[in-house]
Amino acid sequence: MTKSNPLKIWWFVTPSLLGLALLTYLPTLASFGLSFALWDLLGAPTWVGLHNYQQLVTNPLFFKIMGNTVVFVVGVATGELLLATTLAVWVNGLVRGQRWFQSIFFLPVIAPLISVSLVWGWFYDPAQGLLNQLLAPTGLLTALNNGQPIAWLYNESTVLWALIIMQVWKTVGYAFLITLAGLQTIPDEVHHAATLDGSTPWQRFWHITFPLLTPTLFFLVTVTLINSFQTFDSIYLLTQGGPNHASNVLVHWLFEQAFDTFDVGTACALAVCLFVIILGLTLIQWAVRKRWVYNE
Amino acid sequence: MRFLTCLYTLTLPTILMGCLVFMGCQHTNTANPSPPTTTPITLATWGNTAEITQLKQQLALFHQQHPGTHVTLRHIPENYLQKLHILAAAKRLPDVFLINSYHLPMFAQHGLVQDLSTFTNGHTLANTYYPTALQALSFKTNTNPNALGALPRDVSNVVMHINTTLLDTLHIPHPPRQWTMADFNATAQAICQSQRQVALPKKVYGVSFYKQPALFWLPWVWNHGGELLADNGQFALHQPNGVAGLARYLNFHTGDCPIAPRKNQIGQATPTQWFMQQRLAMMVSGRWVTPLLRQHATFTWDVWPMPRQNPTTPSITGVDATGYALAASSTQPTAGWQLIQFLTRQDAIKAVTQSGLVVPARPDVANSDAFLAPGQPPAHSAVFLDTLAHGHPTPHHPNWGAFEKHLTHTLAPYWHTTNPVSTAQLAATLSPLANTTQHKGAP
Repeated sequence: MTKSNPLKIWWFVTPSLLGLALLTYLPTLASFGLSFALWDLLGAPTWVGLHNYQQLVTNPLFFKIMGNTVVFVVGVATGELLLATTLAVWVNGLVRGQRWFQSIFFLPVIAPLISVSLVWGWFYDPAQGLLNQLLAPTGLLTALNNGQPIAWLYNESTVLWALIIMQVWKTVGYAFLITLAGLQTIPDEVHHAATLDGSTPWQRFWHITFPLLTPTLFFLVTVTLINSFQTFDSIYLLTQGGPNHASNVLVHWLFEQAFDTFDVGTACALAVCLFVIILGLTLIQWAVRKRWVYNE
Repeated sequence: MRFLTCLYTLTLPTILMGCLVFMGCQHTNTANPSPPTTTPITLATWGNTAEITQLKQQLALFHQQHPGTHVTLRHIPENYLQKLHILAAAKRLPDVFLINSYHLPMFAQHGLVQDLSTFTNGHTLANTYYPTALQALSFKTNTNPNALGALPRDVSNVVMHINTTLLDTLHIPHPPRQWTMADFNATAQAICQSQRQVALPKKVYGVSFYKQPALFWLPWVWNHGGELLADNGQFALHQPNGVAGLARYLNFHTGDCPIAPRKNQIGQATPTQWFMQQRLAMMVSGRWVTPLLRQHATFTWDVWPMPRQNPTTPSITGVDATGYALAASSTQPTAGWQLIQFLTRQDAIKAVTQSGLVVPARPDVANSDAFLAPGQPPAHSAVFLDTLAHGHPTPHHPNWGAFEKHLTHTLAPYWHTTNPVSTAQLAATLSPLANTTQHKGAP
């Protein structure tokens, strides 16, 4: 069909290409252009060259927020992949109840984030939150905070970790499902042969399961990193980047610049920085994949 | 075939692009086409369901009286300002839109609103609307130092809401109506100290605390004789009186008996919720909480003016205003002006006032039962009106949003501290801001 009817291919592809061009490529190009301008959406943009970038790199807040973003992304990606792999290996070994666990673990992924954030907000609440109520009898509150309730979302040292835990809980189901699918493509015969050769469960995991799972994990690492960099809604709903920017990440700050202070130029400069970071990371991953991804 | 493919690849996107451009250029709302003989205008507003229901009734009346004009209502319940900015960026600003005195200067600076004083034919509006409301919605142009950016609908000011049932329970006398800072301190401290004698189910704090928006804490600065911005627009909070007022506010969290809860104590709840739960005896807030308190409060409450510096000085609070602006880009300015006049006439403002949410911008409505609502709390609604005489417009400036954020961030070490905040320490923190006036994000 492709050789005989190239016209048909274009019929199918054009709407999608047009959508991409109008809704993705053009705005991306416009953002890049606007990152060299001052614009508050009301007047005409004013060309200022590299001024916005210069302002960013001389602003200590930029580095604080960049640090937060790195901690958040690494925390979420590590937590999500470790937990997803652990859960997937466990569920894959179950004889019964696999479907049930798949549904349970995937449930948070499809739960609306607004309700999830509200529930987690109250879960972490210092005055009436369930977490402090659960920790109180264990003596942990006494050890950590002189018996006082911990203000998880209002304390600079705990807020980012509280958000990471929530984000991992919300998104681990997706990684779990993909990992489980990856595990189920590994032929049982390979494991049986290794068992007959006297290998231990850990050896089977490390020398057979993990290498054969690396193509799946490579995909997950890439997707999780990109998604974590783009996290916005949970932070907007729970902390608005506070206290004192302790939970502010690049995308949330970008939103603040664009729609709180209407400094669209700086917001676009931040978007360009984010684009460069994500692109750079993805390229690095792509370049080093041969070193750790099986069959590449 | 190759020729056909090339032809196709060029023509289809061109046709589709043409359609999109054509649709984008359409000005009227195709969902609500108006008859060709009528003048179409658009009106944008925020508001809850009750407010919109009431507004729709007003628009129905307007259509009856002005059959030649058709108003299309754009209700924007959330993120109103952001969406208005985007409409402005797309050159599709509604003909008439509701705006408050915080945000008007940005639009005025870019020439996006019409000077409504050009429609009034020299008639003074000061007898119809509170002068403070008119002042808050005024701006300067090259030709008119008193250009009017919007015709006021309501004014907003904050006053002290007090749970008098709680004071009675704690055996604390009600403060005098014309109270001073000393009276306020005595009452707040008494609320804290008395709980050592009277056991309550949960600890009750004296007063609410907000770090943002500034309108909640600026009265403490003003009532100490301080200023955030001087008349020439220069930063002035670092001056001794301003620092003293702000330090007093920040010290609500400090001492043996802190009078305000910190954010990490109040958590996900809001000060209004804590007031409703009787965990706050006093709350600084505006008229907008009245319907909620009337409906759900299980205790007696009333409003007091913000405490004054001493018996000889007036009680000062911020006065902002909300009104209807006419877009400079409107192609139907006469119809737009008619609509604005209609929505700010006595009956229309009375209808909005009866919701209990707003302080009307018209004295004739404010002094009527529609606002004073005898028999309904608060018993002293007139406090909202009395404070207008010495009302202090919250500094409005095109860069206000960025400046307020910058200020809040600068004060970050103090908002939640339990260590006493000294005036010297605070002045040292604030002083550098005086030199940032030319920087982006500062006025």
